[in-house]
Amino acid sequence: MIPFVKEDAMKKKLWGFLFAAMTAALAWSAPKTELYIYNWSYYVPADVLAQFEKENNVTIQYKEFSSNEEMYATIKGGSNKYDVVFPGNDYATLMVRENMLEKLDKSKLPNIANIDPAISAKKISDPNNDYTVPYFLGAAGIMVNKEKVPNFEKSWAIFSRPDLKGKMTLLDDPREVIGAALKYNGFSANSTNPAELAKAKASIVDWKKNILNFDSDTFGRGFATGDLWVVHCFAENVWLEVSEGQADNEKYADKYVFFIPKEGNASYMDTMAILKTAPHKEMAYKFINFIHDPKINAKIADFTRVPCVNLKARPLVTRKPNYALADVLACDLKVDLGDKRDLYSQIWKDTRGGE
Amino acid sequence: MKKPRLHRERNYGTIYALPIALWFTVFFLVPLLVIIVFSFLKADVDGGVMPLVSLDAYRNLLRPRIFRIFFNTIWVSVVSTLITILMALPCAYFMAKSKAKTFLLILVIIPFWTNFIIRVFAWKTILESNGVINSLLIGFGAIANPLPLEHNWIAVIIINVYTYLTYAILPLFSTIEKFDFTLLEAARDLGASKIQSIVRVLLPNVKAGIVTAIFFTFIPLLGSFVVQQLIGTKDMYMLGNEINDNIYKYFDWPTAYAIAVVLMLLANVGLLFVMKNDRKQAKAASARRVDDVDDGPRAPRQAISVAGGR
Repeated sequence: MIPFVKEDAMKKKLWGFLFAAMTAALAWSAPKTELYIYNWSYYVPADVLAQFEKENNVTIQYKEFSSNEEMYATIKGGSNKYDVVFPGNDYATLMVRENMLEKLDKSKLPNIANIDPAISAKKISDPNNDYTVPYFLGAAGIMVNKEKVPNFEKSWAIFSRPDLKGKMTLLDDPREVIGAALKYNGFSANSTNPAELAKAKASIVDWKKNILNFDSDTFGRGFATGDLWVVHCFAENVWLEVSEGQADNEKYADKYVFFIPKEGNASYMDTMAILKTAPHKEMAYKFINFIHDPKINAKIADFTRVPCVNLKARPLVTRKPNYALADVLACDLKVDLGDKRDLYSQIWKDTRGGE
Repeated sequence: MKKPRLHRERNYGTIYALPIALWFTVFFLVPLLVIIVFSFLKADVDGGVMPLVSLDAYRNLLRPRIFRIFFNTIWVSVVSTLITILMALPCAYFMAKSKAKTFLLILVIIPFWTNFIIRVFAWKTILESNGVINSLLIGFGAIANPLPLEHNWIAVIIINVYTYLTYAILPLFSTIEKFDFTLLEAARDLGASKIQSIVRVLLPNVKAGIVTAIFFTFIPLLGSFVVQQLIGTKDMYMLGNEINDNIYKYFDWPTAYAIAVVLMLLANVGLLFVMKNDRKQAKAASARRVDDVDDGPRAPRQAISVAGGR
């Protein structure tokens, strides 16, 4: 995603440096095993990776992707060096169908017993974690500048307010916006019922009158400068702009508030899976098990600020997540729409695409 | 006795042209064919195409929505191109006449060393409400509240012009540089005003450069989407955005390709029209050259043959 450009470059440099240092170290010491991880940007704290490397005498080769499409295209395109991937739940479903993922040997993953069953149950296609292990469950929501908008209801109806015209943005993402409009009208965020979708479309047409733009890239910046007062967003993206990431976001609690609207929303889950083609399967099992070690998982939750998915880790979490577990559990996890996607595309063309 | 064949008589043309021919075949022709062929196939739900011939993609273009987007695209591209050329011409002229040509060329090229998206974000820091311009104006007390410089068509056009200025300056510079400036003096000596000498002598002679500059600017603008996405509003939706959304949001590759094919056709029709026009003019010019062989001044005749030679 574009707001990450600068940090990405820095990170690349950092990894480049680490890589060089590791290669140098390799030349001196005995050859280490490797583990290839393919993951989203900013999902696993660096010290967690370092600890795993140290404990297992392994070198992690870490590559980041910025969308499920990119990850899927890379793996589908024949890249067979990766061991662990972090697909979103809808893409994980697709990858299981395409026979790309290893059926997990749970005897090698004792820690996944710690995972909240309510979280795993959200994965309708794989509730028993046979192929995929939840990494986290999150949802988009609305961030409001309280100084500019002192009175508001925690509802999607905020986008219908003409007094906020030109000061709001919706995500440039059909699933998120249509999902939100469906929930606003009291339907499932995965609905494929034409009558329900028509109502959702009417809401979007209404919201469009008041928003400045459909924006997934620059709203964080506009929000930080005070040009935008209400943004439909992923909390972590905005915190990246208004403060130094999420590290100190409590300082801004008086000024900004993030919430998942009371009507609910669409949610997404990122999972961990081992590829059928993984060259280092044993190490991959160790890694997934390590991530769900309570101490480690608490550390990750403190970093991502997403409600912790691991029951034993929850008491160890020290920082308040960006939104409550109950709120995200009340959301509908996005499922792969398959050939019904056209219904959503048509609404998007009619609303976003200039009709 | 057979004459020994001289080494330099052999024609190496084919061999010299081989690398570029291969390059173009693999990296230009093949993708181009893929675009054309895929646009006539049926879309697969998960992206990609199915091996079924279909005109769905082209039927999708016959919607009022698409015509509106097309109109948006055309007017923004035309205005951006016009301003770009009008700014690039005097700039290229100045550079060509300057003694510090290389230095100026480097200055023009420097922005290219930075990633395009970063440059668009740089414009954001200039235009946004607490950006450079607004801070300065507020600092000097010229205005009390920030001006809405971002999120409008003017901002999009400014950034478009900024982006394509280099593409326009370079071909103009290289043509104007070859222009014989004594022709302008000759025109003035023969009674032309300054403006007349530029319009009737300079511009016809650098026409090739102008046409190249227009194409370098206009054609990429037709498919652009990033600027209006980052700086624009909900209403600034152009064909580039439609292509992008067809690929990434609707998983409808054939429609995206069909839009690209239509744009390519339009660009090529324009190009053919200009080339045909050029040839006609060249013919007319050479006819004229025969006519005024006695009384015409030498220099303009040379000028005409330069224009005709392109």
